[in-house]
Amino acid sequence: MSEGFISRGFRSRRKSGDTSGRLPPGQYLERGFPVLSAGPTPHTPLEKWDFSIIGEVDQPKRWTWEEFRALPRESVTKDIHCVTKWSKFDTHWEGVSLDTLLAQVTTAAKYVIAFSDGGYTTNLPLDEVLHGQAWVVDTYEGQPLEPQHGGPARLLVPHLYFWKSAKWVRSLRLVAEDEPGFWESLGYNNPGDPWKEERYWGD
Amino acid sequence: MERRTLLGRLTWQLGEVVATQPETARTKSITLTVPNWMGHREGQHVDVRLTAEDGYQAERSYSIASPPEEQPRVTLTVERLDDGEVSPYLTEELRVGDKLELRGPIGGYFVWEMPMGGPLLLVALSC
Repeated sequence: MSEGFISRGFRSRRKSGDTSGRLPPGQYLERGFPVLSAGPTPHTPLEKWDFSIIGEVDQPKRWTWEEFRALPRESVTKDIHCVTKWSKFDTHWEGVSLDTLLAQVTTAAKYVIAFSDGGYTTNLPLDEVLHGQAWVVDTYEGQPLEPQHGGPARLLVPHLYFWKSAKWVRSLRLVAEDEPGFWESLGYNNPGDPWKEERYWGD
Repeated sequence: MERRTLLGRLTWQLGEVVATQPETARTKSITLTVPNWMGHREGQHVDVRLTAEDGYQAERSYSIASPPEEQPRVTLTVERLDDGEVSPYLTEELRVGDKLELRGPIGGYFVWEMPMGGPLLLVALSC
C-alpha cells in the first residue's frame, strides 16, 4: 500500500559502522538501559525467594536462593532487542542456564510458561530455551541485578524480543499445549523473533 | 472483545498531515487523516516509519492522542529529543501536506474505556 514511499526531508542521523549486521529491522541502538514494566516493581526478599519448575514434570523442583546460587553458573555477553525499538549491544549477564535447570526434571512437554512476581507471564517453546539459548540471570555487568531490571533474577532469552525475558521470574511451568502469556494475549506476537520483526499479532 | 481488530497483520499505511499544533516548546501534535483507519481504543499506539532516499528506515512507537470519534483523523503528540532521530523530523521537518507512514492501532493493555469505571489517574512521563 505504501511501497516505495520516501519520507520527504528525512535523513539518517545514525553514525555509520557500529551496527552492521547486529541491528534487527526497525531497531535502533540504545546506549542506556530503558526501564519498561507493565506494573509496579516487586521487592521480594531473598529469604522468601525461590525458583520452581512445575507443571507436566515427573517431580516438581524447587530451589531456595542459596540453592540457586550454588548451581553451575555461566557468564554470557548478548545483544538484546526490545519490541519498543531499542536494542542494546554486549550486555553482560551471569546466571544459570535453562539447560542446567531443566536437566533436573523429566518431561514430555513442548512449551514453557514463565511466571513472575506481580503476575506477569510469558510463553516459549521449549526448543527456544534449551541448547544455550536462555538463562535465569541474577547479575548484570558484574553487579546484583537491580529490581527495576528484574532482580533478584530474571529470565534472559536474548534471541527473542525482550518481553520474553521475564523480569522477577519465579517459576517455569512446563505444558503440552502452548498458551499465550501476558503481552502475547494483548496484541504482541507469539514467537517474537526480532530478526523476522515479529512484533504484533499477524506479523 | 475487540481483539479481532488486531488479528490481521497490521499493514503500513500512509496518512496525510492535515494540521500541526505546538503544545509546548518541546512537543507538537500532528494530525493525520488515515483513509483506511480501522479505529482504535483510548490508550493504544501506532508505529511510525520514516524512509530516507537511500532506503534507510527508522521506526518508533507513539501514543495516539486523539479520541476514536475523530477517525479517520488521528493525532500524535510528539516530544522532540535533541539527539533523537525521528522526533526532530516529526516536530521540525514534517508539515501539512506531507505523508507519514504508520501502522496500528497497537496494544491491548494500556487502554481504558468508560465501563472500566474509575477512579482514573493519568500520569505522563518520558523515558
